[in-house]
Amino acid sequence: MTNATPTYRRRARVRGDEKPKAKNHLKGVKKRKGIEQPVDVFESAFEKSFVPLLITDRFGRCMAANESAARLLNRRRAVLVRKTLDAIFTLHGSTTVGGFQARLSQEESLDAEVAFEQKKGTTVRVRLRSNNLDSGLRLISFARMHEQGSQEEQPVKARGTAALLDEFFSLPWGDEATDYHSLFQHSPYGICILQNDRLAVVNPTFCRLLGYRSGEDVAGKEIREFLDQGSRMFFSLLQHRVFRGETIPMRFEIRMIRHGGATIDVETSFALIWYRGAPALNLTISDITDRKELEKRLTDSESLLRNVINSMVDALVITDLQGKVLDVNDEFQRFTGFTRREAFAAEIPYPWVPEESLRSFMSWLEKLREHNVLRDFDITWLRKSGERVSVSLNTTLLRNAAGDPVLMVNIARDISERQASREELSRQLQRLQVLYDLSRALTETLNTDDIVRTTYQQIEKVIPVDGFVIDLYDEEKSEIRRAYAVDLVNGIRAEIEVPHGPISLDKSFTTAEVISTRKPLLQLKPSSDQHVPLHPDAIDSQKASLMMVPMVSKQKTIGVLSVHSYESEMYSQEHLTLLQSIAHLAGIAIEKAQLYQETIRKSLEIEARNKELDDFTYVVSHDLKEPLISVEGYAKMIRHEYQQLFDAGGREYLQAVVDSCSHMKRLIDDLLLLSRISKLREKRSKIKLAGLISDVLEELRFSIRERKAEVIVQEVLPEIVAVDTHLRIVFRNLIANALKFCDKAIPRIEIGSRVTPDFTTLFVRDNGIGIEKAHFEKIFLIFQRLHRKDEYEGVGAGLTIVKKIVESHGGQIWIESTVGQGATFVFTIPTG
Amino acid sequence: MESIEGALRILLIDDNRDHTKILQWAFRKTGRQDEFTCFDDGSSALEYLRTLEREQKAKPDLIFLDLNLPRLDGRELLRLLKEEQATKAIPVFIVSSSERDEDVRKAYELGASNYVSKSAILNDVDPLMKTIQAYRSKAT
Repeated sequence: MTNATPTYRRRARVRGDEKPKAKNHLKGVKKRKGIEQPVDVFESAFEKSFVPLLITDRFGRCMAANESAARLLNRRRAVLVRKTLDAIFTLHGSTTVGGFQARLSQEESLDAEVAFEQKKGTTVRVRLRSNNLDSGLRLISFARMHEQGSQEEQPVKARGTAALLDEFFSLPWGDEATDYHSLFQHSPYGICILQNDRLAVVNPTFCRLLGYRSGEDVAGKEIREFLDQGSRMFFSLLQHRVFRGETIPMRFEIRMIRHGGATIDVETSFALIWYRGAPALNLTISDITDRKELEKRLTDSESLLRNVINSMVDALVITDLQGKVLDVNDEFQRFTGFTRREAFAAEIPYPWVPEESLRSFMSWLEKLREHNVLRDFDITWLRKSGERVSVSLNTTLLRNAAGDPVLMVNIARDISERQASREELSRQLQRLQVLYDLSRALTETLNTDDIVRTTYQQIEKVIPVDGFVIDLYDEEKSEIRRAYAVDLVNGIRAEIEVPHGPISLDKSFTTAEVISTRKPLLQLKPSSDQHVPLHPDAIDSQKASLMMVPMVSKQKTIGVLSVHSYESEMYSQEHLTLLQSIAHLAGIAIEKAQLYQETIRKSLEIEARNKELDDFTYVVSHDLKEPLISVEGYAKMIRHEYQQLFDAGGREYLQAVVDSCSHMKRLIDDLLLLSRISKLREKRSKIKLAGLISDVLEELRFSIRERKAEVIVQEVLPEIVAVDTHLRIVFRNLIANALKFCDKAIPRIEIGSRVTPDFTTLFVRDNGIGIEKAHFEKIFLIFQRLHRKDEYEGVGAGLTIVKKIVESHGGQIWIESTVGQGATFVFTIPTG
Repeated sequence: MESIEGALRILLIDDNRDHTKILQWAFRKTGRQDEFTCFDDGSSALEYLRTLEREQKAKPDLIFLDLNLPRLDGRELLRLLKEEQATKAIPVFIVSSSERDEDVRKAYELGASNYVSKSAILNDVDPLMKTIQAYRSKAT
């Protein structure tokens, strides 16, 4: 027998029509004999007996069969019931002749060897005994015959019900010869029989579970010793109820004490049995530590889930499809102000969705059926307090096993902060935009008036202003001048006319302070100090919020930018920072504009001074020329009209007067020419250099012929852009110089050019006397002579004029020369 | 010189009396018999010309005009002369010691018939004579 079905299951399987009958008959037994045990004792004893038992009527018809009988006979109990013993067994041997029915009705007790077909082809021999029960029923017991037949079970000797119970319903646990013993010994369940609250018999598993080595260690001890304090009462109660025949749970958990004091959780079941002539409890225990652990974990994971849900920063609400709340988390309660109870009891669906949002929420739910999960739906929720809050909603539709939607999980995130930060971000962006616009607008103008206006227009966009003032500070003069002002005029912001002169520092004490400290000023309340005017232009200074920031560029204070409002607490530190950034930009722009205006002013000044100088040169030359003309004219008149009055000496002196006049006229003409070169920006044109040089050579042909000079002109000469008349002067002067300053018999003059992308380089080379390096610069100075007048004639302005012409074209001139080996005058004119 | 028929009546306006003297001498030296009437300021010269017009007397054949004049500047006088019906036909030669381009340009703009450098005339009066001849032959 290997089946180790726990007792409770066996009992559970006692169903069907045989049970009530057996019960009824057993009840009858009880009545007649006045047995002190409750009815269930018999029923239980019959059922639980390991001895195969049948109950028949006196005709051998089977009324009930116990589990053991059904198992041994290998037939279902329902099949056995109503069958006659003849139909089940065949008589074996010769003890009895005739059917069971006859023998049962006749004999007090029956003891026979019979056989039955357990399986097809397997015949089992059993020894069958019949005992008459008081009601006329027969209790049939049978046992397998041992193969050797050596140890036959003893026939029942006792008489009366009590004896029968003792005989048939005792558990033969201790009987080592039986199969039951083996089952008992090897059962994975701990089994013990309790009699009079003491442990009568225990199996090894029972010992092991409680930590004892053998049954001897525990036998005879009270069960109480093995029960945990918390389980004792419960155990006693159940025990009591079992003996009173009341229904008890088929299994229950108790905590037992192991050897050494540790506890063990066991699942246990009771069965009332008959043991050695007295009722006893068959107690089965199994270790449920693992299960307990599992349960604990399960509980833990449930609470974990609950904890997770509750610790969510998002509000969670689970509803059915009609909007009835099934669960909410802590955040939902905190966020909406609805308690869990209030949410459950809500009479209208979704009480946290305000009416104006309900329509969009419903259409959102419509979509949910298609998509199962919807995300990031921005919606307004209604708090219990009536306050509206922005949330972002994620909703998941849960379906049952059949796939029908059953509930919705809504997770809502508070996005009012996000929206606030979004607004903050857009405000910051607007400020950045203003700074960007300002810096761009400021680069487009060099006009201070435009700059201050633009600055005001940008400030107005981002800072609440009733008034705006820009004062400019002149560090050199320590003067403040008002550049721009806006203020409320009859409640409307308007540009205010600014005073023309400098502002008295007494009247703009605060401005002066900001200038001197270079620190911004932020005032949020009306100033209580009557002696310090809050703002010079405030209509009512007692009302103004004020920000004043210095405009500083490099180390220079450009001025002060201030804004004010007639309401208190209008400005924040943020406004001040922004205003400082704006002031910084404006400061740079204003400084740039001032520098530009300064530059313009200076260059106009220089131009005027140059013009003055040129005019002076002209006037002086002209005025010098007028009397000179007279002197020369009269000298000529004298020479012509009164020639005969002079002797040779007088005539020579007169001639000297005339010559001096011509010389002075040339000097004056050169001066005039010089002044004209710098003064007039004459039109440049494209000049064919070859033609120009041949013209000049033609003009100088007499000198060239006289000096027998050799002039070599480069064959191909470029075109250059210059003032034609001036360029002629340059070549005329240089060639004349080359002819003049030559000690050779045959002066040789070379003229050439070289063109680069930037400059056309031109040169006039001679084989003349050359120039000392020390004089390279000096010879270009006006009226400088390196030689005595009688050695080389000329007024000494020629090279000065040449240099001035070259430079007025944007070119340069220099000399390359070695004394005695000629000189080369090289000059450049920008190409194109 | 012979080609110039007869003597011219020349109105010479210059505040530098030395220059008027020298200029007249330079003309005479060539053997010409020109009749010079001299004024040393613009307004007297203008008044003279207006009187001639009123009295219906013969007007000068040619005007030599310096630019820098007291009371009525040479340029202003030139403008008035070229505006007035009575005098606009009389050729005006600017005789100046200035060789400034802007003076020259301005003079031609105002209607001057010629612009001659004083110092050039003193050196050699021939080129001026040729110019006058060319101008008169063109005019007739």
